[in-house]
Amino acid sequence: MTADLERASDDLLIAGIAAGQPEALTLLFRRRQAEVYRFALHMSGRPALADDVTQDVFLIVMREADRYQAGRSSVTAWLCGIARNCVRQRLERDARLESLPKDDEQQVPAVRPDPIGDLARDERIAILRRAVLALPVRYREAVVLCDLEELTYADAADALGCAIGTVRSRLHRARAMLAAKLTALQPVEGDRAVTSDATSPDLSVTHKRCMA
Amino acid sequence: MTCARLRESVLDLARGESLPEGVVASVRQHLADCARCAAELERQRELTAGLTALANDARSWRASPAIEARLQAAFAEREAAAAAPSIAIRRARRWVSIAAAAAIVALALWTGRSVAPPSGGVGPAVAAPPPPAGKSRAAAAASAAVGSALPRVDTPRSIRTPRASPARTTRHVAPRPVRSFEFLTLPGAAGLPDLESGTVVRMEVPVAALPGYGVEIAPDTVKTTVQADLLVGQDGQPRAIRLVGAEESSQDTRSRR
Repeated sequence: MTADLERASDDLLIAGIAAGQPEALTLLFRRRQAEVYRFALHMSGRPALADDVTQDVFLIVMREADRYQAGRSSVTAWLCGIARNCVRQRLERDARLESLPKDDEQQVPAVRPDPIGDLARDERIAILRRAVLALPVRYREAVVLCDLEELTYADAADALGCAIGTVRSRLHRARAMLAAKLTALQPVEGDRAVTSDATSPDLSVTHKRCMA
Repeated sequence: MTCARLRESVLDLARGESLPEGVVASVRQHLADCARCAAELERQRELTAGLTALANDARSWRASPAIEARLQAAFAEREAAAAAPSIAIRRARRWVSIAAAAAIVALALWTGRSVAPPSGGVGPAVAAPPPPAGKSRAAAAASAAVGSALPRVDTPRSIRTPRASPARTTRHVAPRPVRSFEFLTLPGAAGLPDLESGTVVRMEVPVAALPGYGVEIAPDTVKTTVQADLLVGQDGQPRAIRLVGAEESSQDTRSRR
């Protein structure tokens, strides 16, 4: 694998894949597989499905590299757009075959051992993760792309195949739903009195507990 | 009304998006007077902090290492398959190329036909494989139209140009035969690679279009349609054309006058 290729831009690597260079595919995979895998895992909550989607995405890249339009959007947006379609297909297929696993059956990877000091934090993250997974797919996509993968509105719009305004409105709606889910997942009876928000008192407290 | 108008700007502010100074100023001015929107901004900031923690927690997630090896194997297999396409694929590609070339030439000839349209038909027809000349009505009619001066056309598929009927020849006022030939190189074919192998495709061609291919025609046969063989090379590009016959008889042509 040449040093020049290792320094090449993503666009050049995709051109290399189209030209039949196996090293280009390997390099692009090493650079971008984590983003694809994270997107798929955030969307599904299932590591095995995320692995399958990641493989599918790069197989599609291998096949469709000559149709990639450099400069139209970021490579991450292109990959996430492919991953989005793969995730949707698998979720729809799985939904037909069996009911989705319940929250406590989802296998989100444990990244670290659980030292006592991290238990509370891990719990808060797990609650938020379940809240994201409980969102309808179109809103989950917006949160995962914009808030978890930190894509720009423009790139998210490209990945989702919609207008930027649609991304913003979905994200806004998703975050409102997320707040409602968090309330449902972790009701805090005793803290209602301490909030100053008259419109949704327990929501504010729940956020403070889950987000801090 | 202001709350609804600034809702997305509040969201952008909570997410740390860069906003124009004017927008930020108007949002801050509104927040100073609206406790509800101020609380919403605080809530959204807390949500952003939680989502950031979730994103950071996922930074170390990686796909299975086995995927890379599987992709490399799939890539190598694909490249090997592309380097040695099957005979069937090569044959299919060749016929697709031939069909495409025939379509291009047919379109060009149809354009010529529209200038001086013949009495029947809406466009040239491509016949592949060509029918035996002896059983072809079109070929027989062509024979009558072009007269006895039309020399025999030697084709690799034993297609012979029908000889003219003496009776019909006598009906010509001034027989001006279309001159036939062996394969004539098409304009633009000179720059193509050498012909290694080819396929003959039979087509119906308006005589009016023939001058563009270097074929002499007689004035009284301008509106006839003749059959021609198109020689298509191994790359699907047409190389040459030769005349076989005409669709309309001279009698038919004369009767329209």
